Amino acid sequence: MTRSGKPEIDELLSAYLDGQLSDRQHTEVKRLLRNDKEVAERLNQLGQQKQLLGAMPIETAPVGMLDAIQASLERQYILQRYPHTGRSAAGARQLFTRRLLTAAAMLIIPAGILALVVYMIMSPATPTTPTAKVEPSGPILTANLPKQGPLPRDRMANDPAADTAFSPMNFTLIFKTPEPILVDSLLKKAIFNHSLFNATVPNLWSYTITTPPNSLIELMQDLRAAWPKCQGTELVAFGRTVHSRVEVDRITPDQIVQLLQQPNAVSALAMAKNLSGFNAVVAGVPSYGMTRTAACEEWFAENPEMPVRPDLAAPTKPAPAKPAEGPRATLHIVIEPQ
Amino acid sequence: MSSQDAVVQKQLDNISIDDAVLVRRCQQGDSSALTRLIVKYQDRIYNTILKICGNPDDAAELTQETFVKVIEHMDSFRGSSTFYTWMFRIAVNLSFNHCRRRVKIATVSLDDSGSSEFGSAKAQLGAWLADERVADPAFLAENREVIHILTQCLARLDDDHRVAVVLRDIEGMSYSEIAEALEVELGTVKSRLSRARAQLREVLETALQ
Repeated sequence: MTRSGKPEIDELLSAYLDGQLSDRQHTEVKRLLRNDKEVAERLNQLGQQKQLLGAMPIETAPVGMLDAIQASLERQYILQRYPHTGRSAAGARQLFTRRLLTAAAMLIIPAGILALVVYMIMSPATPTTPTAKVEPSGPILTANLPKQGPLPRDRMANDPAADTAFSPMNFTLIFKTPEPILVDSLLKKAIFNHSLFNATVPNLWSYTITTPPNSLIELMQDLRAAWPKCQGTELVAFGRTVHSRVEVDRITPDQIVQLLQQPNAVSALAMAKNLSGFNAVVAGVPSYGMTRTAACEEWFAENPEMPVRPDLAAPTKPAPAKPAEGPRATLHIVIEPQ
Repeated sequence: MSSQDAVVQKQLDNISIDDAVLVRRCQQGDSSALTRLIVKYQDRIYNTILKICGNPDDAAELTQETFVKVIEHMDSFRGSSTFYTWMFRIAVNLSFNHCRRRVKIATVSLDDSGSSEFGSAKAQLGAWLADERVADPAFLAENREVIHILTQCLARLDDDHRVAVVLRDIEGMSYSEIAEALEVELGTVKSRLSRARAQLREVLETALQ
């Protein structure tokens, strides 16, 4: 490197060209230039280079720069006005909530479906479909009640009892008595003893009691005393339509208990039909001191296995059936003075 | 320059308004003042950036980006430096970042200038640098080939040196303005300029051989 190429000399020469030296430095550089041709030549080179760069034409900005800047500013404004909502705190919370709900739904829905499947498999069979299955509950009709499977739809449509599958049992018990006041008194006493005031709607010579069947069964124990005071008793079992109505003449307290022990209105209505026929037969059997009617003969032909003495058909008394639970039963008791 | 720009420029020529006034009006929401500032400086900013990055398309994009940043941060400008140096600081920083992102500019080859079409330009430039005084520097600088050679030689300087020499010898800034724009000491400006000029001389001599 020549003397003029030394960095410190170049820095002085560069500053000298730009007029950035102090007076003392300026004087020293001038003296150096007079005495050193290499330094003078170096200054000349740097000066030419500076002059050349300074002579380069100014390149003008592309046409439409102003419009481009304004358009860019508008974009920036829009982006700032509608910032990245997905990253904002509110957006993040909303996103988190949605994800949480989605995760919960993904867990709950399969678990619910699984629970439903397990319940359907493991739960005891309940008469969720309108079946007319009659379960014998007493010694009298054990072997004779028709065993019916689930009713097909077309059969249900024609069966007057089918519509009572889910309806509560509804009976009317009629006391035909020459001593109505006494029977009425017994009835009131029984209602009082079993605390059925709130469940009873009294009327002239009639009482409508709506209560669970087991309460009516207990009531029937106290009402047994009314039977000897009556010339006749009749029970009418109702379905939901006028067609599903069965009248049982000469009904006994035990038969009413048996009816009330049925699991549902369908069974009760079916049993009432059988009791109706049975009581009619019993009334006509000679051994009972009565005469068989033509209707009795016809009934026996249709029910050949029907025992004449139901109690004898069951030598050992079975355990009392569990009282029916479920919907309330309505017992309408009417006193008919004779 | 578009017709709209030309009209605005003519107005600027007729009405000389200090930068500080324009900036204050911009800060108050005067869009016309903003337009005047852009039109006033867009060519100088573009020219400086072009000399730093060497690519016209990049220079246009960086110029646009510079003005957007200037406008965005106009409210934060407190006048501790001049608006002019503040704006150039933004332009230089953007250009530096751009240069660092792309392939090093110094890798630009000078082989292109070895072709025959650059022959006469090289001869003219060589004669000029040899102090033969064959041409007026302004006339010489109008030669596109000469400009191309100079631009490529500038591109081979270190970033700091290139910026210093561009701001001083092309943009015409004073040392203090360069120090403000680059946020460096005055002595640093002196040394950078000195080294930049020496380096450029070497690059030019190499290119003309």
